[in-house]
Amino acid sequence: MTTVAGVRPRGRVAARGWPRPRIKTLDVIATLWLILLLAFALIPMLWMLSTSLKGQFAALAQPPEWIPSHPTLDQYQTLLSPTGTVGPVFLRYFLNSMIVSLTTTALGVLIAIPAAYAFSRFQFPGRDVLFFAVLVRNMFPVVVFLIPLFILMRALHLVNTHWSLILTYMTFGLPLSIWLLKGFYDNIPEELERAARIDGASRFKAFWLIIMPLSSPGIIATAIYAFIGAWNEYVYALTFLNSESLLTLPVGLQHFFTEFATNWPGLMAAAFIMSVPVVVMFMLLQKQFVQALTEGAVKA
Amino acid sequence: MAAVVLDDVVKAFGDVVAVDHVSFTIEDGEFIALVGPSGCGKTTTLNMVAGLIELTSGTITIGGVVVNDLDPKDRDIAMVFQNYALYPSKSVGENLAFPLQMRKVPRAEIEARVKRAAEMLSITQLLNRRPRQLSGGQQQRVALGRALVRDPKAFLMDEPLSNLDAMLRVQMRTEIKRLHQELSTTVIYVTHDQMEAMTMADRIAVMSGGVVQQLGTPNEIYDQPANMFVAGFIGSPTMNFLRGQVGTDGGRTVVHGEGWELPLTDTNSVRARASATGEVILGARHNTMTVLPESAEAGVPARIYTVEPTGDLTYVHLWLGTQQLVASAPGTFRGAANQPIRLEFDQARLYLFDATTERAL
Amino acid sequence: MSRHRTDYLWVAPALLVMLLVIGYPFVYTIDLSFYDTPPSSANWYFNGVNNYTQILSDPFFWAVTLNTAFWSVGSTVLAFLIGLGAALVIQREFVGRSLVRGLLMIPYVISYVAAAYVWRWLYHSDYGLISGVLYDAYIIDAPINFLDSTSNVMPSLIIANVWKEFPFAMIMLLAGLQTVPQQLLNAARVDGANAWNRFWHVTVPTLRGVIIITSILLFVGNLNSFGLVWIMTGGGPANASQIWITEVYTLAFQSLQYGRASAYSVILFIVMLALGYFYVRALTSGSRNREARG
Repeated sequence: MTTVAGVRPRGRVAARGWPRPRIKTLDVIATLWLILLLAFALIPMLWMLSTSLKGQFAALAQPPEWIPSHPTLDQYQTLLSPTGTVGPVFLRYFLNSMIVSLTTTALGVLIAIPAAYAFSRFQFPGRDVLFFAVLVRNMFPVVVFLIPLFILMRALHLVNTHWSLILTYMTFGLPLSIWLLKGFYDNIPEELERAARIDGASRFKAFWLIIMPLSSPGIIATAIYAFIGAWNEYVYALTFLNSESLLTLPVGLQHFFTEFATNWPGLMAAAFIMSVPVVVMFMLLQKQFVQALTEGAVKA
Repeated sequence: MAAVVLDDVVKAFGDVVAVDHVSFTIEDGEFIALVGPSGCGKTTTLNMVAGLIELTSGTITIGGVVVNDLDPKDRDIAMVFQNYALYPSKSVGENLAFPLQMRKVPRAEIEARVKRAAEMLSITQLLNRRPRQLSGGQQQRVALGRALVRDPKAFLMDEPLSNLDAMLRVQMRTEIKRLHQELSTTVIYVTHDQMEAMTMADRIAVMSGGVVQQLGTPNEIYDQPANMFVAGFIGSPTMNFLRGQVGTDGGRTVVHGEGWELPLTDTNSVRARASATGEVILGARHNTMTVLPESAEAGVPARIYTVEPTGDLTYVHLWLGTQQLVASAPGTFRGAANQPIRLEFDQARLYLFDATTERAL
Repeated sequence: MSRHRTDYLWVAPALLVMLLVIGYPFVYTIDLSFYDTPPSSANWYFNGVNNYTQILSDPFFWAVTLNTAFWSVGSTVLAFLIGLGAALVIQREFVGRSLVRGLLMIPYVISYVAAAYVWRWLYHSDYGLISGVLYDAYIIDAPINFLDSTSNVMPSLIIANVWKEFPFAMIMLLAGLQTVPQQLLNAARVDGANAWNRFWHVTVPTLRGVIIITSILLFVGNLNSFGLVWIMTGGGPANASQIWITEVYTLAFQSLQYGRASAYSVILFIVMLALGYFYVRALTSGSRNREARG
């Protein structure tokens, strides 16, 4: 017995009633959990924002006001205005942080990339050694390096300059960046470069024109990581910098508010401003960051 | 063991219809193959029977029970996957035992069933190994074993042999067929390899574009293809297709092609005239044509393009007018490129298709 | 097999920087740990292992160790579990998924200085939000002393720390979850495994490597986490929140006992190395044994 179907005209779907939506308990639990997580993660930040928009007295009101009844941008204006006593100092801090972070990122990436490539292609000891280096670097109490590093920086006449920070910050992320990027390069087949070299490109050119673009998520992730690390760092900036005019935001923040009785709205506003660049940067580039982590770190 | 019925099953992913109103019945104990090229909807259909994907509309019945809303584990089916999907952290024995553990079968019985399945598939000596220590063929057997321990209503197989090398594939084909005969199980077997389908199945459903093009026994599919797709998909080398216009020449019905003409027998003439537009496509398998020397009287003139000796047969690639054909000749055939010959068609085994609808005439 | 000199050029800058900024201080610290460095005099004289013996025989050291253990284990376990839960729920497909993921990462990307101040504000004994809300809802009748109470301070710090850290665990585990083969999960579904069984028998074994890496990085990171605790409590009240790392800082930069601080750090480092080693061995030897038997 043969049943035959001719060639039917496509696209004709007569759905016999919608598939009944099955509300599974798992979905309900998952949604509740997600809401809980979001609340946990965001309430402190929202409270930060809310406080920053209040006046001094309003901030201390009990019971606490979620949404300020008289929201004011006073604190922000104070912090960000180029005139006055507070503004210029704060803006200076902001600028310093920018300078240090961007330079750290640029240099860090510049150094990590060829190193990672070399580790990947030239058969240096493998990922495990690198990972070990990452761990070791994380394991040693960083605060203790302050002493020898301070002495070192003094010898190099770099104390109280931004370069002392830049140099130090670069090393924070270096092992991890190399490790991540190496993972990326491992996944790119060598045939690509060989083809390019046969076509006449030098090793460097092959790397620059072909391999680099392919590892851009890894590079972006490295850059983000380096930037965020440098932007947020506190202890070394505290130790290495003396001049008011050189301070970065994290240190400057503390400077600000121990002098007066704690101005909570002001503090919150400053914290908020400090957080904006990193959050924005991360939100924009999070896809690359996650991808880099997946490709570089997890495919071990 | 049970019968499986698909009734007007549709699966749409947004605007894309992957499975378009598929209906057929698989009898209890039958081995049915779903064949078709990539993307034809066969795996999607299988996954719906398994319960891994939800239907957009229609019903699927297993053993008389409508299973649309049932989880895979409640449908009492077993599945063998293309890349085996063995649990890498478990030993072979643990892999085999797992489905039974999930159903809370008592331990003594688990051991007995695992032993039995292992013996059936000759993998008893592998029970303590890890999947990564096994070869592809061995892994495939373990996958089969995991399905066997269950004694389910139906076995679903998703291209289980595709990852094996050619020799192993032939070997496993016979084993699976033997198992089917021993156990009289209902089997739904998905593959893109028409040879596998032809050799193993009781019936074949050829699918393309989400639609079942034809459902029948291997012989029916081979000898009486319902349309061009089925005709071209089944059989290797592929059937030759020649487009032409139906006309008359001195009282006889003739098909005019690009640079050639073929007079038809009376039976074929009737069929050809059934075409609405008068354009037909002729179908001829390689072994239904004979290559004759130029001096012969029968047949139509053609020219050799190239010759492929395979020892047993020789495949002769020909130009018929501006169209290419492959015919087979005995291994002793000798020919040269550009050599003119005559090609005779066995009209009793000639297929005719309507050029627009592509259906068989 | 010797390679061209130019190959080393690629790695040279990185190695140089790391050598300078990591290697040198490392060696220096170990060296310094054997010296007595009285704050009052400029003379640092060799002390042998005195620093070490002094530290290890000091009961205060063990009190701090207990604190540190509580701090790191507590933070790691909580951050891991919450991160895992977050990863599992983010992994499902839903509208606005990347936005939600990004939002959940915010605690991780902001500075710990900002985080420390926010949480100090939240925990404020007079004006803090947490006390305020609970008081308002009549759950408590007096504001809770979070950071000023010796018994409450560690749990409070841990919560703030976990808040900051769980996104890291989430993102690592999320990446790991992507590597779980869908077909394996399908096979388990057909085999009769419900969601929990699928998680336990398929997902977790696949994730073993990521789990190890994540937990080590978390644990070690926590042991070294200085800024948060320092800004929130400075180790107080009455040393109730003093952990190893803040103790080291106090010794070095407040008591100016560089030698002892260095010795302290070396002890810390050895402990972490040992822990890491045994931890990894414990988690991987299990599987190696099973393989060898087969």
